[in-house]
Amino acid sequence: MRLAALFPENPVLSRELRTRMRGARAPWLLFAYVGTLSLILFVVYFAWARSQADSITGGMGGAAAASFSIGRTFYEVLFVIQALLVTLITPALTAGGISIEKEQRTYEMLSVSLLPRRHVVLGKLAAAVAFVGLLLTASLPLVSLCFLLGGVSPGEVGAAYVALLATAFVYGAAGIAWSAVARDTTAATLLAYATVALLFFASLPLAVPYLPGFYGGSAGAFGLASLNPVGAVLYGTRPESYFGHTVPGWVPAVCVNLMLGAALTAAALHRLEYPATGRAWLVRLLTVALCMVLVALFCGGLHASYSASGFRGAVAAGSTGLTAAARRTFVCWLVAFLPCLLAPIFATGAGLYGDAAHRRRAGEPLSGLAFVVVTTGVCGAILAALGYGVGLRPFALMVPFVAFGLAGIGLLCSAALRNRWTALQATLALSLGLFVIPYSVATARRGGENGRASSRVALLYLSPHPAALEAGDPQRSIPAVPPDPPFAPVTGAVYFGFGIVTVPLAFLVQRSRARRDAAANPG
Amino acid sequence: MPMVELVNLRKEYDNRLVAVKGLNLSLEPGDIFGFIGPNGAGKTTTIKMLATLLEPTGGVARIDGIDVTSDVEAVRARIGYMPDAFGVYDDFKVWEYLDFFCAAYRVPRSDRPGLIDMVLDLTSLTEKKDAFVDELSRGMKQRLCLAKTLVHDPKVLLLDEPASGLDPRARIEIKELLKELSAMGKTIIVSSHILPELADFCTSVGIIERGEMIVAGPIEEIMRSVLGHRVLEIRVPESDRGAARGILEGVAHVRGVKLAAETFRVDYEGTLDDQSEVLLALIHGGVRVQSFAEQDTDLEDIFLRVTKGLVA
Repeated sequence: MRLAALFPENPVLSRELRTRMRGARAPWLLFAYVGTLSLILFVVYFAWARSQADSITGGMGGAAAASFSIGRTFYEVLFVIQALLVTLITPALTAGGISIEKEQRTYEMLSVSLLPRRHVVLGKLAAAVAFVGLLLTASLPLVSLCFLLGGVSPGEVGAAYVALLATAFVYGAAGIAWSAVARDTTAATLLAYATVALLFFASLPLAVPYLPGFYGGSAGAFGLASLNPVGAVLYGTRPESYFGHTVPGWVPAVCVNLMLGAALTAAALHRLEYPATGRAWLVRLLTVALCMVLVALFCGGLHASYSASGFRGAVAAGSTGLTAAARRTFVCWLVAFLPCLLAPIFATGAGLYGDAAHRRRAGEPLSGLAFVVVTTGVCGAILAALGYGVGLRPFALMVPFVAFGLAGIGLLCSAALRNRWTALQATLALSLGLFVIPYSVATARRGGENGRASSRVALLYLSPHPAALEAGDPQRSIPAVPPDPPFAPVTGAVYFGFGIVTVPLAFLVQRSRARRDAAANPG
Repeated sequence: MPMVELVNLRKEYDNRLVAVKGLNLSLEPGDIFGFIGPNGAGKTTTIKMLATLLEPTGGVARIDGIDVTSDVEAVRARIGYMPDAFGVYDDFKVWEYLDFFCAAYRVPRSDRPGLIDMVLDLTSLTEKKDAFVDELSRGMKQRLCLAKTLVHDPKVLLLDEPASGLDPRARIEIKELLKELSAMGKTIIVSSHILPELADFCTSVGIIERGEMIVAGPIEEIMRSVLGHRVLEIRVPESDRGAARGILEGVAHVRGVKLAAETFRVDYEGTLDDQSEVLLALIHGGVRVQSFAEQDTDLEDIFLRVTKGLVA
């Protein structure tokens, strides 16, 4: 059988590959890419040469060490810059993918052909990732300098390339997803860059603890350091421990990136499909799987610190304990943040039931409430089961109640605003506000105030943030606030109250709107 | 079995705007149906529902007996759709553009070169085969778009304003091409708001306003049902005009006689068979008839009579 027969023909991919390389743009971009890297390398080399000019002593041994050092520096600089360039370039390659077809009025003709929509989305995405692959390949001659100088292993370089391609896939998928959703390329590009910035900076703390000076310079594994492209190129081959099993850092990061990219690509496909086939469950399934895997991986990363001596033992171990507590705090924080992200996405729509198209693409907002509560509950349960420590059970129980409250707010916004995007934005703003503002206000230092007596302390129970801090590290003192009563049960009750009030209110608003519409349009 | 069939087709948007209200239509193979209506009347919405781009809210639309909502792929294989405002991939060569759509319609690779040559020949673009699409004139791009709708040999062509923005020559070329395609047995639905353009070659027309089909059928029939009579144009020498007027006013079924631009315009209520009686009466009366003809079908007149200038 011929190789071509194994793969269905994708004319969109052929077109993208053919036309992207046609004309002067692609060679110029390649030239600019390699030129930028060369220039930076040149500057780094001269800075290093000047600093080393008088210090290379000790004969052959000293020269070899210096060579290894500059080889390592070259590698780090080259790949960190490439990680940043991939982050900047990839969304631009895909954010216009679908929207430009609509703007150029070619999309309708593609739509009525027998070409499946997945070929359009996958063709555009694959072409963009292939182009990023070409840019990365173009850097090989420069990377080979590192091998010449030493200090870097081929495995490290290979892992960095694989991780960068996986990053390009996720960031490209974010671009294509927004391109399928947004009305024009400008909006799609802005939203794609906002998403990429969120992904980049949200994953940065995973890579940052490795940097000297952070948490006392301890290299305790958070796990998933390679999820961030900068972390991936610096620590891709560093072993990470999950439930006692050690794997190179790039492996779990690539797996998570592939899952996240698949979820985003599925969302884009889902959006474009006609006739819409009601596969909201697929997007939800991928989302819950991704959340569960992420939480499980982070919990697995805690294993190395807590399995031997338990949480208190780890705390007693001094600086390692501090890092271990910080790691668990991060995982708790992530789980507490999940409802703030999921509720606006899944529990909003045009009205409580959404319009027909929205129901098929994202599911009803009402069922979204149940989905968010169950997903966050499952993630909380995973954390309680695998999170190694006391005090996690009340926190894990709190999380679905927070999700219930925020999803209730989402439903209320949907019923009141009757516009999917406005409701999403309003709910997202309220969720993030509730997460951040009470903590910031209550912990702001003001001279002469007694923390316990201050009325601002009560605000802390409005946010899941302090509960996450408390669960992550019970010994950490939140400024001026003793944890009495404990945060998790009270915050859970507060959000349950939000839900109990907002959900019936949303139904009332929906019904009153329907009555008003019926009165306005009797026919 | 009709090639295109609409039964109470309805489209309502989420904001409760009703774009199409209970449309009924039946077309046989080889028919050219002209869809006439003011902007916003529902022409494009109807064509898009037939093209499987919009889901009908109610009623049934069938192409070759297949419901457009039940088997979308089978319907797409049978239709060629050319949108009102279409774009082309400017960075493609003409043959690459057609090859792209051949692949999109799953035409086997081995069949493509011959097929591309054939549609280029049909649309008179053979000499532009290796030119970039960007270099083509608007008329050529229009023909190229028509060529791409033909690559999978569709049974039904849905053409939304195919001649808009074209110069007279390009418009005539498109018309000739459509006649040729109709002769090949293809059913064509063409929408336009330029009425004389449709009167020339459509076998039937439908006038739509505010989503409702006001009148539909062969132009002759519509003319008779709407206007209620036909207009005969008779030219005679100036010296015979007095006698001619007297004779014409005495012929049965003649409702009125007007002289305009040296030509008598006679409102005639009789049948086509009786029409010759008018000419015979003139000749027997010794009038030297220079020309005798039925006035050209005036779609614009019909359109103005049946529509109210409203849009949905």
